[in-house]
Amino acid sequence: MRQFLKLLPLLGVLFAACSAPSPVDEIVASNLAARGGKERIQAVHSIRQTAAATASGGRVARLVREIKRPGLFRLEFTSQGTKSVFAHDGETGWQVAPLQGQFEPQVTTPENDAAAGADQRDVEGPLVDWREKGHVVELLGRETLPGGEAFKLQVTLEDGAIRFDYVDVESHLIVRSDVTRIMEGRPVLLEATFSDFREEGGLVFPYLIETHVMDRPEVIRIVVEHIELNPDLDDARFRLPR
Amino acid sequence: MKLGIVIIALAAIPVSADDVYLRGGGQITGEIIARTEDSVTVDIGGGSMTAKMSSVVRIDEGISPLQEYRARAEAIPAGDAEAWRELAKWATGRALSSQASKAYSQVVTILSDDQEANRALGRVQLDGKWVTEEESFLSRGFVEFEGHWMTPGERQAILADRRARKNADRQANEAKIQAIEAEQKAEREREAVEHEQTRPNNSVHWGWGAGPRYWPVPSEPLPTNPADTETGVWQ
Repeated sequence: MRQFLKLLPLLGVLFAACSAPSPVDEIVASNLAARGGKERIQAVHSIRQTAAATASGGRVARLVREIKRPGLFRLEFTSQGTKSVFAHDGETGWQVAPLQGQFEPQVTTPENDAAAGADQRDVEGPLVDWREKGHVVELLGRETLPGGEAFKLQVTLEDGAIRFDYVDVESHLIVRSDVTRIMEGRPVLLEATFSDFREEGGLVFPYLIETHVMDRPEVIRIVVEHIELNPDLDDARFRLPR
Repeated sequence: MKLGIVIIALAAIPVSADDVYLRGGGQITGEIIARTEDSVTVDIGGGSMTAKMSSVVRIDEGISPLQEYRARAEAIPAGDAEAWRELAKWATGRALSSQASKAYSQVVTILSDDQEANRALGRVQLDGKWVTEEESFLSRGFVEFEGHWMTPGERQAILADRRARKNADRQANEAKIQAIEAEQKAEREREAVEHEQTRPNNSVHWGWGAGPRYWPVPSEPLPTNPADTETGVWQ
């Protein structure tokens, strides 16, 4: 009995360590709070973002991106007198893309489907309830980015894809996200930086998204102009037309 | 007086502009230049494209932004940089890359150091001079490889990776070397044709979910090689 009593403080410390949130949980919780809170995030069932995109060589495009639970996605890409649609109904990805010579809706290849990223179809983002979704989140450390210090999280998605999210230590918002995509038969690291954060409906969103391949100079710049929360979106918009 | 100008301007706009709606939400907007029972060809301002009527849901007639651009451009007096700038912004807002570039080029022709127009054309300042983006990439040590700008190290790594894979294939199955080489030769020939027909810088690495893999640069013509010749053709 005396031996047991001696061990009590140690057991207490162990219990506290086990029950205290892990650094990963703390960082994720701080991120969700900075975005407006988990409750508000989960109250969003659909979203529509209207944006303008620019790329090197004077390329301009208009974008309308719609995401709806569960895992429905549609991007309308308007450029030079053409409108292309890239969509996913939760099971099948498809596209009609006149600029790519596709005038009929076509099912996307598994490679293109994977390259688009299942995480991009998650309206609340993969960090919300990541355990229940089958993802694994690990803290890799802190890194200094141009805008300041950030926690680097490795998010291994349920489908095996890996993304690295950088959570700013001050704002607690994700300011950069890196993903490896297989493109043209080989892996490339795509880096997306997020800035110009603004509030819409009590939630915080980046209004400037800049993407480029790691160590390459060409940048695609997406300026979000308008965000609608919970617009009424018919599921048929996401389904492959028959 | 203003109303009179507007009426004159509208009267100058051709009325054969159309929106061609495709199944699934795709759309082609411009000026129809040919239409048969089987197909429709639309001038989209950076080239033309032909869709089979079987892919077309409906055609709405109206005045397209492209035609409005052309009418407005014709009405701009010589040397009026601000009018070209306004038209360039208007074209940008309608995602008419080619027309925005043409209008901004007019601004630069009149005001060579204009910051907004030079930037919109993708130019950057280097040692106090406006240069093309390509020139700036070269000056920073990047090299162009298969349509993308990258470091010489990355290019070397890609080539080394390909050589390694080729050698691995060779060692793994000597008996199939001839077949593989024949296949590689055919692949190279295919790539050469595709490279010729698909301009550098036109392929993109989209990073905002599903999105385009091809986005033409306005200064270049549309490719002549459609990704899917079954359903439509470029011209």
